[in-house]
Amino acid sequence: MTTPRDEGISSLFDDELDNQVLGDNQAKNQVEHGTDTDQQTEQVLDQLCRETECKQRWSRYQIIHDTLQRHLPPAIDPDFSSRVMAAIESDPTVLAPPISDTNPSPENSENHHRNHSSVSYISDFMNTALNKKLGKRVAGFAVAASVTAISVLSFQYNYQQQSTGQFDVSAANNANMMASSKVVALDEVKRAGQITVPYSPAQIAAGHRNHSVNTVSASKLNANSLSTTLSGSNTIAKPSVALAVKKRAPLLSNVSITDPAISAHLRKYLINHSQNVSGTRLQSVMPYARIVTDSRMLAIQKNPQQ
Amino acid sequence: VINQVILFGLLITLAQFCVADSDMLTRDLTVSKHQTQPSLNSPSLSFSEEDSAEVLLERMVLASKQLNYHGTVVYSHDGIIESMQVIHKGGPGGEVERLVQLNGVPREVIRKDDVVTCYMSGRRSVLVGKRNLNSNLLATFSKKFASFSDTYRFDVGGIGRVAGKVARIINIQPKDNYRYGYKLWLNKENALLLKSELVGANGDVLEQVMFVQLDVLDSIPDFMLQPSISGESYTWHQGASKTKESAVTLDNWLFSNLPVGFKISTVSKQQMPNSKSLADHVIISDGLASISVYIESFGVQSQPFVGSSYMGAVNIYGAVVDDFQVTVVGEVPPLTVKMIAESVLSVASKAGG
Repeated sequence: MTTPRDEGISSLFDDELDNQVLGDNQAKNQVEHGTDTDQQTEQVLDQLCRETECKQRWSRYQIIHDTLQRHLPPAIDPDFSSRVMAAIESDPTVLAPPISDTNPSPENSENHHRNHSSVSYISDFMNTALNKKLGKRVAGFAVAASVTAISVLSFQYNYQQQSTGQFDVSAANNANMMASSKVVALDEVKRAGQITVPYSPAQIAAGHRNHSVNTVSASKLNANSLSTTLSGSNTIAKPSVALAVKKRAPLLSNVSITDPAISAHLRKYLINHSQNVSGTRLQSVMPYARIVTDSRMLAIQKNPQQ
Repeated sequence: VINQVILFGLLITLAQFCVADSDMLTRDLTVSKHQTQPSLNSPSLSFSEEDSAEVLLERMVLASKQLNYHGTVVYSHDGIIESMQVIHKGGPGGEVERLVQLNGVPREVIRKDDVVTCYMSGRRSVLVGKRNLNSNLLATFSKKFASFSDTYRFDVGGIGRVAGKVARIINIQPKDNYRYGYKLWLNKENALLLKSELVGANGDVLEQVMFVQLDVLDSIPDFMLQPSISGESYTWHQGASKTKESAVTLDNWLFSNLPVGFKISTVSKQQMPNSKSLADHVIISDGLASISVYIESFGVQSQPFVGSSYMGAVNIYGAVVDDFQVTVVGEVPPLTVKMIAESVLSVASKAGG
């Protein structure tokens, strides 16, 4: 290792940063003075995220690691993560967390619909929700490391559920969309046939610093159906804020997007209906099953196709 | 020596306790084993090859009310599979049924006769509601089976096997596009419904409920019917009807165009959760499929909505009539809920215009 910077990257990769970057005396001082050694890690991570050369070095270390561990595929594309990120940015499907205070007023929502396409509306809507509700919790991450992405999102999902505890429908949507993102991530990896980098610097920084994020993983599979079903439906009947979906495609059940207030309202009707009509049903269990299940009311259809 | 005697005595006493515990355990196991034997194997519930679909369905409804059983059910819809524990206590003392969601967020539903209590741990709330018993299926099959002739065709199918038990299959096919079909697997021994499918127009299975394990018991201990969710710090929503259903008539609304075979079953006022005013609740049924129509003023909700949605086989359609939100919910095709929602008319506006 020629420079302290390179040494730091190497140590971070080997999870030995504290021991090697800090000398023994320095470490003792930090322990004595209560200095958080995580700050050192954070500095190295900052460097990794900022400097292209550091990123490349990190990638090389990943390849060396995988070579030694015999994890290499037949072909290697060192630029895989950037291609995945580009695919994400061009994908209109957006993950949504549970939302509680982002419901636009009817007037605002109407203007919103007039001025935006449905897809951009969804993106804006969800990004607003992300920014407001998630706050500064998670930093950007690449889909390539799907397991990490899922675990980070899962934490957010659980956190939301415990903290708000009132939007089961949205939470269910979120969970399902997380499942979608996992599928897509794996699909991307499979299609690329490339090396899977266990952790990118940005991801480690994300887990370490808990910063905010606007990047969300998206489904290419579902994006196709969404982009077709959501196009050309900019106006919604006043004063509804429902999202338009033309076709009831099976894949849509995994990317259900709807206004949480409407979802909650529909769920209320569903429960009431289920508890009232169970005596009339052939299978008395079925209505109750709907109650206890994470019932996901899918997007409202403006012009439902019969 | 004295100490040894005392110690020996203690050992003897301890051994006696152990034997006693062992006896109790053996007795419990014996009881438990005995309980797993089908007790309600009455001739009235088992059936022969010649029995018609009508007879089989009557026995099925009777079995679902009378038998004590405990099992695990899988419920699939929209490509999702959920598993649930079902405990049912029947008999002359009344029915108690407990359904426990085994995956994800803990939720339970407990029904004591006509009172349904839903424990939603995710929302930290408990919903209490009264089930509508005015149109129970047993009465329908006993007295009105002929009325299905215009809407459904009933066929007794072959023999199947569900949850390790031999089952008789019944096919119920709709005669038009306003309702779904059913495929039922009935336990050949006791007529209990082991599996049911809700079938769409193209033969697609929209929803499926199936026992994967089932024990019919002599009795159900009370502790098995207690909710595991305490609900102490939860918000309780009392959703029982505030007005007697018999006293409610549909004075302000009418349905101009109901699908063939569907009739208004009951009319009531419902106190919906988190709502201050009462909603008109109309249940429309063709005898098998049930549809709820809710009519609420806009003041009780944040925003109206127009359009359709669905969950599993349940379709919902929202419409706005005058200043009221009309929401139609039912296990029927989208076509049917839309047709009913669009047929709702205000008596006042019709009289005026």
